[in-house]
Amino acid sequence: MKRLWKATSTGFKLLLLTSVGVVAFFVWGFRTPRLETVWQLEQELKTGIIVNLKKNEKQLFYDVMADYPDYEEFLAGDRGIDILSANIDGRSLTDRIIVLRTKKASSCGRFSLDLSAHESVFPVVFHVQGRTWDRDLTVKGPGRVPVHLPRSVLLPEIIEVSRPDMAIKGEVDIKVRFCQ
Amino acid sequence: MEAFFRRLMGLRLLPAILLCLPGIALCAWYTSSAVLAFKRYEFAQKDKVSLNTEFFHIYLHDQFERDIRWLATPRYSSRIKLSVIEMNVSRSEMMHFLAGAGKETARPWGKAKFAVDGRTYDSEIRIRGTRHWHYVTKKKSIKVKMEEGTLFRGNESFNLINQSEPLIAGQKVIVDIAKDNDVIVPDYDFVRLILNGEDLGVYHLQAQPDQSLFRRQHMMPGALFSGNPSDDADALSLWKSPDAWKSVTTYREGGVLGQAQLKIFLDQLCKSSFAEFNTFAHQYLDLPAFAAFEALDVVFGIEQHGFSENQKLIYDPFRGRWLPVAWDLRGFKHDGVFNRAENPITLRLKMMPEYRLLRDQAVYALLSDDCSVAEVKGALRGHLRSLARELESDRLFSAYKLLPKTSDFAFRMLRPMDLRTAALVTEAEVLSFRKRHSFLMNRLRKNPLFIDVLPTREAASATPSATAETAVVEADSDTIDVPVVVADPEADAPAFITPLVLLVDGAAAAAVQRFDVQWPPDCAEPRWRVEDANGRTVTSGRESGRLAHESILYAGASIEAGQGGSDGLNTLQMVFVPTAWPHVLRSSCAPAKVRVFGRNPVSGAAIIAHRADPMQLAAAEQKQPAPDEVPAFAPGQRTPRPGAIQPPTVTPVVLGPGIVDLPRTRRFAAHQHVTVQPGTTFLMGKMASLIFEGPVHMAGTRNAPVLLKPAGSDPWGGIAITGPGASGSNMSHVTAEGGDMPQDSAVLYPGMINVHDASDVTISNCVFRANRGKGDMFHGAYARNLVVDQMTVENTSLDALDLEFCDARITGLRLQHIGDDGIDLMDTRLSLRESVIRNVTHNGISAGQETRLTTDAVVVALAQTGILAKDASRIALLSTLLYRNRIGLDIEDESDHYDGSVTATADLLYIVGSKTPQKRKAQKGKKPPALDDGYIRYGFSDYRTLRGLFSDVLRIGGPEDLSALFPGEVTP
Repeated sequence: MKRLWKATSTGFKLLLLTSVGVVAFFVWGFRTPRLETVWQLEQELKTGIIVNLKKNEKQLFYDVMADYPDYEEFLAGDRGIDILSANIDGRSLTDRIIVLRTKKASSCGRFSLDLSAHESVFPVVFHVQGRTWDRDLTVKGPGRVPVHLPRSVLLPEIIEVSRPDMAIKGEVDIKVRFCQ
Repeated sequence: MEAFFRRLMGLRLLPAILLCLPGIALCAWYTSSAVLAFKRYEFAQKDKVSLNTEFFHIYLHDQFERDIRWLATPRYSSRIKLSVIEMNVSRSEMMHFLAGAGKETARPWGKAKFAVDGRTYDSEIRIRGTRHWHYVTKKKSIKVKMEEGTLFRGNESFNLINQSEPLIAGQKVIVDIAKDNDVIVPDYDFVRLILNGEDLGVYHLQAQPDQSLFRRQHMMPGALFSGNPSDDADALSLWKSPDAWKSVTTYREGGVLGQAQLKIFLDQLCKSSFAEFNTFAHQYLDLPAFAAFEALDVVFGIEQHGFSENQKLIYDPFRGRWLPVAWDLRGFKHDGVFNRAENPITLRLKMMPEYRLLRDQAVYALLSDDCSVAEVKGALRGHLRSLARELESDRLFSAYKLLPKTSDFAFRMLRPMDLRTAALVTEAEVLSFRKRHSFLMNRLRKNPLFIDVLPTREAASATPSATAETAVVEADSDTIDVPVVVADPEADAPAFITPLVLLVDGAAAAAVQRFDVQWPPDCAEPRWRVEDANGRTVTSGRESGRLAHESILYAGASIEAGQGGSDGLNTLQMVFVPTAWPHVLRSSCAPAKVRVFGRNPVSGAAIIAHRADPMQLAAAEQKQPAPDEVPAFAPGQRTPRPGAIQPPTVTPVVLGPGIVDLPRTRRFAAHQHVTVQPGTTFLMGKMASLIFEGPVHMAGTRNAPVLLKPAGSDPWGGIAITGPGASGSNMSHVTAEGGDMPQDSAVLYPGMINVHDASDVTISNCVFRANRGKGDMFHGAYARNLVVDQMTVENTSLDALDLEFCDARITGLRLQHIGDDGIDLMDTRLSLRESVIRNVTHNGISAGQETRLTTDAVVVALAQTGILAKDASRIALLSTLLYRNRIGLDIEDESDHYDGSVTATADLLYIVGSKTPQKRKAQKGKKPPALDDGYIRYGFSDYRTLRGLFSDVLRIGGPEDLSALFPGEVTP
């Protein structure tokens, strides 16, 4: 390859590099800007169109929040912790709940899930996953269930609360309360 | 092939450079476009932001997207349903227009012509708006001023706005709901603009609030004020002086009056005491209109109507009332507060407890009906669906707020928009609205009624008796132990007193309906009553504890500092504070349980009083200002105790019989119910008037009529029956002559007899004659269900009857020797029967401005024009005779102030002895209006159908007697 390269003329090298540059310029330009992707994800989570985030999508959020602390503050609100997924006053509209916890809420050691459903639905298993940790919660009946948050973790973090066993019939109404 | 590659690999430098140039040029072109676009935005935002890679990528990406869209988007087609405005501007005029981009003030006008639906209009245009989305891109927002004397959609001026909110239909939905709820709001719609042959896509057409607003709102021409403080002025500056308000006045006298009233209004807002403002507001503000407008702001989280912005008010000089104009209705926001913005008007109004309730009821009504989540969702989606085709072909479709809130700069960047994104934003805003709806409903549905039951004591002693046993007093689900004394079985009158404190907290008011008292088993046939703080019995055992009329108890209010914002005034909030309403239960036995039942007067739900907690009781103890204090717009400002300002009690007033001298104007307030006795004669001083704001019964009889005449040689003023409080008034057997017009500082009365803004007023067997001055004899404005039965009017200066925005039935009207029109109608619904109108200088009947007129057994004779119909009016003439008028029937359809044409139907219409029996005029290019010929005759060859008219109305044998009855001719 080196010999081939050396064998080519300066003009050819210039043409090749310029062509690659032009193509790269247009490919890069056509790519969706990351802020636009984050905005779309934010809206889709908010409306329940999507109910979970892929690993690279979560990383995108982390990167943008690292570059723009104001955005982190906006998403997490005054408490420093808030629901990103579709909800009305904490009452989740989707089976999977996405919560953002930031440094501002580092002292907030837990949040609670107020569950209401018919008794036949229980026990329900919830899988709670943070940035570097996860655990399972088995809930035997309706009522308030605390979700303890580990203290020394990398913040901000996106916490997902999901129900792996989607064979459960009936509806479980979940209201999230923070720092309670 | 090999040779080709060999040659390529051996390409020399110069040809290589030439081959690279197009690619490099393209990249340079896009780079410079992106950088320039960024710089333009940065300059418009007046923000110094460096162009980093992220922003450059965004701008580059957007340039690519716009160019692809330009190539791929089909041109608009004639299948598009929106109105298309095709505008042409010459090059030199375009330079004038564009010179306004980015200027704060003094944006120059350029001449333009535009065509819509085949009709061409002349106008002037300038850039509209100072925010970047109005002028940075090709799609500029335009203010259009019509050539004098022409209107477009009934508007003298309007805006074509590049409304770059991502929720495209948000404002349209709110405007439609405002219109449906009688909130005054200018014309608003979607249109498409083609400027000099270039399709600029979908615009929002928003009419400017100007004098055409009165016509659209079916209002009398009045005074419109727009609050425009300068940018560096403080938040209160708008409210300190009328100089900060721009006046758009349509009616000279109304404008003069309005200007004076504006000063009074502003003074009242800033300087009056609680009690003074209460009186002023009830008299001069249309409280339901203000409540409806504020309710819209609350429901949609609109914050555009704060201390310093978007304030527009109308003063109606014929009602003497202020009304708000809804302008800039960008909402769909929620942040956990009821009012996202307050201003002195909303704060002062909410210092009145009855207004707070009215406002909350208006909010609840909206949330339950037009603003339910389903309705709003449906409306937003419906508009987006109907606009889909237009937006798909809009190459310049863009919006801001399409990036995360990393900074204000990024958040406000204009970016290409598409339907998918528009749909996503719509769903997101629907969810926000759901949150707000839920928040507001929860607040309004709260049970606001609480009770604290104090220990029972014997009636004679001042201190509570020692506890012998305890009784359980239940308040809803809570139980309270109450120390009691065993009743004396020999006691006669109520021997025990149990103080009760009813407390209202968390909502505007609670309606108490019933006290339920339960007794210990040894208490036989208890006698009891409940008294309020004034010692008045509100209910007793005899009524089973039910109140005869539910008692509305109000909460108090206080101004609190809100959160956020740099301007303290613009964050103020009015919140409810608990108010205690002491009652006393007097009973022959000590009670075991006391419960109070009522109703939430906002939601209508049944409620039971909860137990009050000590914090609420302590808060209710806090000092409240006196009604004669002047409040401040500052946190901590409380309102007086509800009930401290009492409305005046109804007072009967009797005038007459006999001579009543009135040297000066006498005004009767709404609480004064006046009866004028039969046989009363008013001798009226110079320009003295009778103004009735409450109901008046002028109860003359045939043998003892009520007379009004001048005391001397000077004319007196007039009579005004004015305002909703005067509804139900009547004038019977009243004769009035020699008057002019009432002079009033707040209301214009153009007639000697005036009925304004009152309903169910009856005028019967009255004679009005010989008015002096330059006014009408009888003027009606906003009179609903006005009934006139046997009225004679003669020798008038101007019109005999001038009815504007009225709904009336008239029977037995006799008009003669009339100085202008016999009956002049503007936007009025009138049924006229068995009436004779004669010797009229101009029109016997003039039906203008969307009037609805029916005549039956009516004669109009010796007038310039028998009946004139114009301005999209509809007339139906039944058994009507137009006799010896110069023009019998004139139909004019020339005005473009109104949508629609004149419709005229005639059935049994006789036009006899007229120089011109019929005249029809239409706008250039339009067909003359049609007269639906039912049965029109121009002579009396067959007059059988008029027999009833001759015998019962004219009291003659037949047509042969007409010329004796109506001699002569009309003089030109």
